Amino acid sequence: MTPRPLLSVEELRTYFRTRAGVARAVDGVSFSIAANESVGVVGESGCGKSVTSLSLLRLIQPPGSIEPGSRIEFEGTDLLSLDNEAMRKIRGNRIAMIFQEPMTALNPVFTVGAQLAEVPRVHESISRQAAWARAVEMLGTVGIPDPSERAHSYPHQLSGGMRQRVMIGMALMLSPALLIADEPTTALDVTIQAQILELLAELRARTAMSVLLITHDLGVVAESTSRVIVMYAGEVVEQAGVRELFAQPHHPYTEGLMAAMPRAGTKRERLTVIPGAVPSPYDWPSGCRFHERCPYAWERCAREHPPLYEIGVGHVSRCHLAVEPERRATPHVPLAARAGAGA
Amino acid sequence: MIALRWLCAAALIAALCTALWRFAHRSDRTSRTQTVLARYVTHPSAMIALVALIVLYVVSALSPWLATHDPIEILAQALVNHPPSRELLFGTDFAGRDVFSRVLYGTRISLTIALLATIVSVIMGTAYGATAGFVGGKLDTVMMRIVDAFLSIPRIVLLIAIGTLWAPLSITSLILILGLTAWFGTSRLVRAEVLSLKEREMVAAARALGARDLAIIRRYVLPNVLSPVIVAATLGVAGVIVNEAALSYLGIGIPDPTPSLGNIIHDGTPYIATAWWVALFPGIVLVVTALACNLAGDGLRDAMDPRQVDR
Amino acid sequence: MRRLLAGRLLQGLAVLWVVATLTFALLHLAPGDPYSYQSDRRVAPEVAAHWRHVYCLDRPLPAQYACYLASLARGDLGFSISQSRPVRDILIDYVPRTLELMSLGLLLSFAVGIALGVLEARRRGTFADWGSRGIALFFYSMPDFWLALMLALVFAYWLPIFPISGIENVIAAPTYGWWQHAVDHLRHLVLPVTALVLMTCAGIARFQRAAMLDAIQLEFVVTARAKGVSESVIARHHVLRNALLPIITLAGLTLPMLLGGAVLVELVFSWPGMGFITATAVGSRDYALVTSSVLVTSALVVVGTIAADLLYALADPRVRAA
Repeated sequence: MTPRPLLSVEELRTYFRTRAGVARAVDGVSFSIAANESVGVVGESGCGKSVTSLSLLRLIQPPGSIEPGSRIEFEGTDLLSLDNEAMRKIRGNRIAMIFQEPMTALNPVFTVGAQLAEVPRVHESISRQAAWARAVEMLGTVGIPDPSERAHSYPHQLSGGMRQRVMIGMALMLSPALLIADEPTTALDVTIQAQILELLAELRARTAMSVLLITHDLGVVAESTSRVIVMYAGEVVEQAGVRELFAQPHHPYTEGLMAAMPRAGTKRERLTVIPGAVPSPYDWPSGCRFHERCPYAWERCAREHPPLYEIGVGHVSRCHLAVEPERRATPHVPLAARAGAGA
Repeated sequence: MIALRWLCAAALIAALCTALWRFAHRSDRTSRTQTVLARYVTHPSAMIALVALIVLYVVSALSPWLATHDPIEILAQALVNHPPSRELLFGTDFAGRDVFSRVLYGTRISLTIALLATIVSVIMGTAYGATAGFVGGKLDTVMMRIVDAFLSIPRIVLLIAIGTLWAPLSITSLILILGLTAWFGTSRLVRAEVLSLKEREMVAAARALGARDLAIIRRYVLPNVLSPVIVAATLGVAGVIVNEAALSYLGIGIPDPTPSLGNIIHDGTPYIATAWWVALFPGIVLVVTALACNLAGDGLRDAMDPRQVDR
Repeated sequence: MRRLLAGRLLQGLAVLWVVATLTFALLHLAPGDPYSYQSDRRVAPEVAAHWRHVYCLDRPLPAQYACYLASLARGDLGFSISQSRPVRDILIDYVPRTLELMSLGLLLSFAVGIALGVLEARRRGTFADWGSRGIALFFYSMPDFWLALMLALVFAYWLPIFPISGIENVIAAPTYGWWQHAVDHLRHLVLPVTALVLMTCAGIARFQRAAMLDAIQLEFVVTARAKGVSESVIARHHVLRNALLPIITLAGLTLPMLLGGAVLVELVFSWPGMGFITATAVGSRDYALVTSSVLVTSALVVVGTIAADLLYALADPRVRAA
């Protein structure tokens, strides 16, 4: 019944083979994005979100590599079977990406206009003047005042919010079908954050593109996406529609993330924090990768790696609680908190 | 006389090495020294360079026994500019002296001068840089402007000027002059290191506990500036040996007939078209020495500074 | 920009003042004075007395110092006893030749050094990287005068491709037209310039390689890749533009080495430049001439460094605005 998705990712594995061993940064991730859909990916830093997004564009540099058996299908073509030149033609053209820190993501020695104009210049045969005109136009579209003047500015001459608008404009130059936004608002003030998210939503509505929004901030996800993928330790641990997820989080990790979220109107002494830290990708824990930090974990969790259980319509969770829900009634102090107290 | 100086250099280096070794083996420094050593040993070009330097030093030390002739003796009128042969390995020069023996003795003198001059420059540079950095303020500004001025003069031009004004130079003054014109870069390095150390807590804590400046310099500053200084000194030997050769080549270094690598090349220059061997062989020794010092210095830097690895 | 320039000029003047004081101290500490009779130097007593009076050498030390600085400020660098004419006139004849050699050497060694550095960075870890660095270090370790001598030996004596010395073919030159003159002059330039380039390009290549490797780690490279820019354009355009900035500063720092190298290279090839004249002044113990060349070379270095700073400010938009 579902139409063919715009992007489907199956069993994506991105490993980094270093002298210290093999870091399995992304370890069997599957998901898909439909046309004009906005999907959020959340998780703590180190859980493989950014590596996933870079993998989609095949921007992983050695010693990292996408393992055989992974599959990324975009607009009906298998991206992993394309040669480098064909892949290059997709980047910035059909799939675009924006980054967390626009100050370092923009080249300091070129004007912003030149950096925007470069996108059509590399993908289309277009004159310098025409590319520049389109760059100026795009700067206006993303809400930069006085764009023909500003196009001559260097990145350091703009404010953080303006720089991120420039990044967004650069990504949208060729009306991509998919925009990957990797923590686009993390480096910005709260008010600017809201403006940038609003701009993204507005542009998505106007251009019918899909957005993959990567963030550690559930608040951002709640505001601007329709479906959420929760990642932990290189895996998808829960996936659901945004309302469903917020109403009924299933995975204890999602629960923990939500508890750690500051809420307007509620006054609490301190935020609840998930004990421990994301484990090392060189050596994921056996069984459920979250069991050391989980308040419900029992023997099965340490032994058996949970599959993605179907919880509801379009809602999956990688937690054994799906088959033994009664365990939720008896939370205990997680292993990591106990070990943490001793260490 | 030269043998005495050579012994002096060897003794000084031995003393320095022992001091470093003992210093390195105090308390927690052991493991660091071992990792540095381990990293150096696995650096192929650096190890080749080290072996080359040891061979050069030993061979030059044994020059009285290895030399086939007296380096100063004029062999025979018929043997002027004689090409290399089995008897005369590197041939003879315009005066009919055996180039092989001259190169052996010349290497010994040049190495000795370079090592002693480097020691002078390291001591001078460290003291100067540490003073400027530690005292700071106006004195620091003035001292560093002076270093800027010295650095703006090409070193060989300065050496030529000094050499011309005081010609002829004795070997001791040659060593001093070479050393006293080689420390500018080192002093900058040391000063920068001292400035960054001054900001660190341990020094502030030691100050608060009433440690005297000299004690702080000895306890905290010197150990930390050691690695950049050792690297700079190793690279510096290459510079000094080349500059000494240049001075001798210009005729204001070691006076004839005492051989040094530079003045053997000087003797060969007018006859380069017919008797190329006179200038060629001492030059090869110079290149090998300088190259080995540069490689060893790079290896040491890589071994001492993990951030630099693979650069 | 204007304030930067003013500040750097002031700093440069301070450096030159220190250098002048230093040369004065050297002259004062040296045995005898520039015009005194010494066993290896014959100067007529009345001539010596004349110059000693002109340069205040018969007055007390502070007056001598003031006199020295004043004459320097007038551009009077003293009187050369070996050439029997003012040092300034000698330098006016010889400095342009050095500048010609230097500027060509600087330009070519940067072109070669940058090209090598980019190549090494892109082929990092391969045989090409390793070999190029090894060869460059080999030439870098060579004493400049010996390198020049060997070049002369191989390319002038054994394979007589290039002239051995001088700036033109003295015998044939009068019959040449302007075109032949130019070719002849270029042929005389080849060997000295090659010597300079070989000895300096290693340092530049090493610096450029490190700068490239630093710049390629930066995040805007990922952005450029995500835009669909090809790797070669990224290297040539995005990375190189950023990696060239630190290289500009290096140009200023390379000048002393290049000038120092030029002294001996000029001597070996009898290139009538400042280095040549300085080296030949050694034998006649011409104090005024050698100390003047200390001043002039350091002035050239100071000017070069200021030029490099200004160029940097022009090339880096972040500094340009400030």
